[in-house]
Amino acid sequence: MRRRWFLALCVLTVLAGCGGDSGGGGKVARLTIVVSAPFSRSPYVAETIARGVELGALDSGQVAAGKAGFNVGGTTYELRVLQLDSGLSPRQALRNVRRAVAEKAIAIVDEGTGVDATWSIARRAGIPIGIVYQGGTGLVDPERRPNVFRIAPTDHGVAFRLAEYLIPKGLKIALLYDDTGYGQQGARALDEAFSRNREAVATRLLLPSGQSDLAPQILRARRAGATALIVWARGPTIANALAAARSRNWSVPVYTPPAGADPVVRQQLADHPEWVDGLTFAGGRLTAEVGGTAFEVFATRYRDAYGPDRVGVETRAGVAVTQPPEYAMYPYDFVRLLVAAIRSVEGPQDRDAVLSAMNEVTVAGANGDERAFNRRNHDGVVDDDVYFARFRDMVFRPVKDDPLSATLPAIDQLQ
Amino acid sequence: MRTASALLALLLTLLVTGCGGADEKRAREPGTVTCGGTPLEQEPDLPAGFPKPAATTYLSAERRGPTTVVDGFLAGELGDAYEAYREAFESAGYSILFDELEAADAEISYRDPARSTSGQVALRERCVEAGRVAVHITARPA
Repeated sequence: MRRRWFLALCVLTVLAGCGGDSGGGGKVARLTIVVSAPFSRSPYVAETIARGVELGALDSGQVAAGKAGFNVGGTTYELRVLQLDSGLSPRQALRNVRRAVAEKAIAIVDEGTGVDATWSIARRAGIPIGIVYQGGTGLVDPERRPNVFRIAPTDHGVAFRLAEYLIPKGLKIALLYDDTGYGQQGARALDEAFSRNREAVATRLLLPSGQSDLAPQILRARRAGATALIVWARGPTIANALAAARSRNWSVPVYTPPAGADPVVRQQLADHPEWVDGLTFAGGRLTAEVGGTAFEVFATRYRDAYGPDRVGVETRAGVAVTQPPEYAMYPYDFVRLLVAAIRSVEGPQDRDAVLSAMNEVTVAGANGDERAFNRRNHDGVVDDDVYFARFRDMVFRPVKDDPLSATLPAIDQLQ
Repeated sequence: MRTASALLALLLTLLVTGCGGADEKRAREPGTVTCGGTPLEQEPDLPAGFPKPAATTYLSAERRGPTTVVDGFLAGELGDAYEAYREAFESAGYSILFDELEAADAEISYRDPARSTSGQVALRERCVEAGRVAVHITARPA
């Protein structure tokens, strides 16, 4: 009998914590942030994004120890993160956004797949979308898609910075891209970036993403006289392209967009670490003008919460390699901007007001630089912040032959 | 005698090292750059009507693939240089995509009114020469 009373008390306690008045007399409401990312197809990218969202929510405020939330306008808002797998499928991404609408989500943090089809559904529900991986040029348009924001290097920035870096070297470049949305958007950006310097382009070739042996395409690039390759593809295809070149003793320099840093590239080539040496990728700078301290603090915070992101490979000296949490930094900053916007308009009830406030607020980003959007620009990473890093012994360091990159510190990847 | 000579040499050394001007001292600081040289005779290949605040001098311009890169300096302090560029962009009808003023540097990312060019003006307070702010401009097809 005493046990039954105890059970009833427990149920009442749980119910009281689920909504309605909090113990302090204020209201309690739950806000859901949906993470739509390819958990099944690109687990590293997706999980890092989800962790960045969780940390961003926690660092925006806590209503109890380890419980993300904040108080505004007499209401306590608890933040909840709902992970939905997009599987890199636009159709699944559409289902995810419909689910987000049904859940009355306050925001969708998205890897980028399917946004062309999903943004208008989210817009009608007053839900901002924060793209934190894909850089496709048409994905973000403040006038036509006022609810779409992005914190990630743009394809435009990556492609033009690659052109600025490589064309003065006098290289004949083969532009290779895969058949995923990521590759197709990258191909468009490369075409634009190299359109004024066609003499620098040896050839342009499609790499089928489902094909592990890319020898035919790599041989065609070689026969076309290429002295450098830009491979704009998802990680597994980059690894396959490298394997096809190196296994034929072709030491051609290989350049990639940020996907070149995806751990899957090194994992796939773990049996031939020398094939990774020299691989150069373009990415968003991880550190601010004032130095690397802020990013190191963020990386420590991430590591304390989740442990190190082990790449699954070792240096030649046998030291395990870890991945810096770059793709946690962008969603982290987006969530903090979102919460700052909600606070600035005294709560999330007026969705249009929140969207509008997203153009007004500024936060200190995880790397120490300011993050902000405005009415004319919904891209949080500017083109001039794209840098280059090169792999040596399974870790990457900023290159020395690019003015911006040469000023950047190396990030520890052996912790 | 030998002691007196050594003392004299030491005094001379101290005098010489101590006499370097502020510019010379700054030149020894890491991260500083020379903001001097011969001004460009021709205007660089920047978009038509690209803002050029008074007291700005262009020293070099180069083409890196599709992008024009210009370096120079602006006579004055960082905060003044930042405000001068901000105002000049706004009055020329440029869109400011992002801007940031920090303790020793500032950036203004822009897009021209025709939406055909975008880039950045980066201002750095690290000139060897006192009273000058380094100006670094990029202009690439938007």
